[in-house]
Amino acid sequence: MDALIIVFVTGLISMFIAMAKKPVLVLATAMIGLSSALALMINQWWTGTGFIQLNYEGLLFDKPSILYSSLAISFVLLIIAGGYSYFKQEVEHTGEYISLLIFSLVGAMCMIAFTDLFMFFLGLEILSIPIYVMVGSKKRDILSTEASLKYFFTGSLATGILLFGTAWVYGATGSFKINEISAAILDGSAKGALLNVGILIMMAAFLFKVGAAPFHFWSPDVYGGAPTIVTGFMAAVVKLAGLFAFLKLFTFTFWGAYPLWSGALFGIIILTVIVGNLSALAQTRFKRMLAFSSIANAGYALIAIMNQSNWSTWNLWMYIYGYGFAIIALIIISLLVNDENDSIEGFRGVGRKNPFIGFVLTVSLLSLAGVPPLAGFFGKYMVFAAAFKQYPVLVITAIATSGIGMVYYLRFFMTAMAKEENESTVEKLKPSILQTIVLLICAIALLIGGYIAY
Amino acid sequence: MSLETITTILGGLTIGAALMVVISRHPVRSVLYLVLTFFLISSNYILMNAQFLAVVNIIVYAGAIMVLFLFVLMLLNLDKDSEPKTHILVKIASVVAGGILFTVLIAALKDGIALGEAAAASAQNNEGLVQNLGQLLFSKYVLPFEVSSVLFIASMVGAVLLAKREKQVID
Amino acid sequence: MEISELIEKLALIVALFGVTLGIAAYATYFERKVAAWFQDRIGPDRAGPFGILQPLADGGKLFFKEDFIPAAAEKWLFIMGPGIAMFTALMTGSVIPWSTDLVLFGQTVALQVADINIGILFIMGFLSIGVYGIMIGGWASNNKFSLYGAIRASSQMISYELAMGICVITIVMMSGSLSLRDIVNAQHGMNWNVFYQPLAFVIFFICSLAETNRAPFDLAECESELIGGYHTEYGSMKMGFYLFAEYVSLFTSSAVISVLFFGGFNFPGMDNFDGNTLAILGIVAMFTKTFFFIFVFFWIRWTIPRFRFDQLMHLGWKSLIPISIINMLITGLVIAFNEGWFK
Repeated sequence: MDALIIVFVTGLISMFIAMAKKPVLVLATAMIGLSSALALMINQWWTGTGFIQLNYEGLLFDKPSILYSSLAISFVLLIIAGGYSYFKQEVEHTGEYISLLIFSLVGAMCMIAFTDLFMFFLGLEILSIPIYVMVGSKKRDILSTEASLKYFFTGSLATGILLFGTAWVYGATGSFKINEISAAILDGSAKGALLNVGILIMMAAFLFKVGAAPFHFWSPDVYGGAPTIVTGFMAAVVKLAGLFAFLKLFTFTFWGAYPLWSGALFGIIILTVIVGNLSALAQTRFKRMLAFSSIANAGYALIAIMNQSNWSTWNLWMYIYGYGFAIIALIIISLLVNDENDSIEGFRGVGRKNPFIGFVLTVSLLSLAGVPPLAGFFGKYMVFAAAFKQYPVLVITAIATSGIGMVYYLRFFMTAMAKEENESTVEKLKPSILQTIVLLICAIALLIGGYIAY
Repeated sequence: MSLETITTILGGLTIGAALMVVISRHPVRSVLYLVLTFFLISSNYILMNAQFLAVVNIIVYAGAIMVLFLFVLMLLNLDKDSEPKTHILVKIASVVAGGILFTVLIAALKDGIALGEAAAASAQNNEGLVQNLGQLLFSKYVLPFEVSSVLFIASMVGAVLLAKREKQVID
Repeated sequence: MEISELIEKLALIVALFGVTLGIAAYATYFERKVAAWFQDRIGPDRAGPFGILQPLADGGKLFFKEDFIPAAAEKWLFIMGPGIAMFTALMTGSVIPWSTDLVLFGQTVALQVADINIGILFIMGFLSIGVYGIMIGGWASNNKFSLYGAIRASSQMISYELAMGICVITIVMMSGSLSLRDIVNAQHGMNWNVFYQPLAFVIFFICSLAETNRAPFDLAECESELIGGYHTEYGSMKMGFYLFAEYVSLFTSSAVISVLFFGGFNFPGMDNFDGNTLAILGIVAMFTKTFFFIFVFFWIRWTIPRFRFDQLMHLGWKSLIPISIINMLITGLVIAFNEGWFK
């Protein structure tokens, strides 16, 4: 709880400190605030209690929530530090950009730690609304505006559908608290058809938010149109919060109705991994490729939600860990390349211009593709291994489509490592110190991630 | 006239007005029907003894948000012709999908009939009165209430960020 | 509900309706006289002694004009507009307490049509809906000047409603109730809210000017820019409804101002009276205050020139709202201090 307050206050302060027109101050505030929030989270992990205790039980930072919140805070820290060169371009708005991202983090934390549906809904809205704005923050870019509008319309429709489903679930169980809902479903006191309809409607909204296949149409346009750094935020933090809330709500709360939603989810996962990977193959633009790859990755992560075990929280965490750090590294490299058309060809020869960036790019792409010693492999392995016994078909499809995924990741890798055609125009890519640090952290996190898993 | 008759009539009117929002071809008329729907929803709230909710619904939704909707629609000056033409297949598909969803929802609602009694019981309690609502909001639900302020500040900052006129750069 | 109660309420409603319409009608006459006085003229003096039948003559004229609907107009919405304006203006009067209870034929009659526990919110609700009359009318006319008028009216009313609402919150905080009767009773004698909340009163008054579309905020019907504003295309009694609705809301907002800030029917030395005498004196006090504020409305109209639209928006958003928020914060702190929260 104290970490949540610190994060919110950090957002406020960095908004007001921006009046001094010194972007460095905003950055420093955000860094200090988020780091102390992270420290508080770690403290709470070891001691078991925070400094502030509240009677309201709608928000509970238990161990899984702390784990996920810390990961979310770290992602935001890296994104803000790495994207600083973008934020400071418009001194007028640096404070707003950074504080909106931090407010969105507040929402993500509420969505991670909720124990009743009020807090969940509030968290979802606090997470989404700053993102709608940030997607459209490049006001002179018509694609960015289009992306923002598309995301806003489809996103608010999904929110409406989610609320509608919540109303049905409330009608069936008579409670907003997730443990009471769960108990009502398990002891059979919940009204059957009402509950089923409610759960399915809520699931549709959720699948929309995480961008699973039949509900994914917004995703490429929005990811492609958004400013690069915001794309990274959406892929890392929004997916993290959405998937964990999905896990908490479905795998743990609606467990009693498992036969109902597992069948639907089964089909959707298969569709998602196939559609995501096959579409990614055909892309020539970096961010659109990233969008489809994130659709496919959402599909893999949903497999963790399909099977309830004590480990599924941990498996999902590991998966998002590998995915998030890799995405952030890629996004920051793309920010450095700064290709106007955002085409994959723009990355040609990046590895030769700057070997360090080439190294980080290699690590993150291999991790996304799931090559053994890296974190991405362990995430995938843990998720697949846990589900294999119950759903062999699902896992085999997932592994096969991972193979397709390997193709476009490696193609991208080859482009980045290829020789530039006319050597004379080679100019060195110069990341700032902050970006170097961020890239280094991402690379290290991906390299040692596997050891955390064991 | 018993309470039940009034409830039935109001419910029917509410659904009718809501349907007109969708059926009406003209955007401005749709918005006006939506305003009417909000009024009727408010009267349903009053029947459930939730007067504060009813009047706030009118002030906020009918009185402010819908006025802004109307404002934008009037500025855009949309009319019947500006409605995009949809392909016949799309129309058929949406009718089929909507019809199936509708059937499922209606079928599920038969389980909800028992809930009507619970709702009727809730009309007897005084939770919707201002004082009780305030007590509840500032004791039991104080955390969501305060957290919603984060939502408001984020949306305000966002609105300013998007709507603020950029300084013109003269080359 | 017993039959006698029903009859009592019905009589009250009819009486209130008559009084409101009568006052609104004579407000037009009064306004012309005031304007004439300010401009050193005589004003209407032909119809009856001192021109006292002038409102009737005006009404007759409006009734007998051709009822005209432009070909390009949306017919039903065009008719609905003035109706909504009139309806919302009249509804506001129903929750205002006019005086203490009156005892008639052994029955206690509360001089208030409905004492609902959210009275002040009810008024705010109907105020916020009042804009639909203007917007629908302006849009349905299918005339760009009308549309401009409608758009101006809506943005103006939404902007000023915020500051107004915040001032109402300070008053509600002081009296601890949303019911208008409780608010009035809390100002017994000379214990009027205006002495505690002068700033809120000033802001509320300015906002009332804007909400009733009175000068200097009458940009929605600014004749030098927009011909007639939202009612350019209207004629006959539909036009009359718009004009009338303006005077009706003038009357009701004066009544609301006197209830919220000037103690309503309370007057100094009221403890010396009781029963029907008190009720009648209360009515007199209430109407004196209301008429005074109607006069102030006229006074301002004929003194201050019209604002520009950007000035209007600046005043609303950049001055009134921040000031009223600060005022509300201070009020809250003082109340908390008095309740002993800081000890």
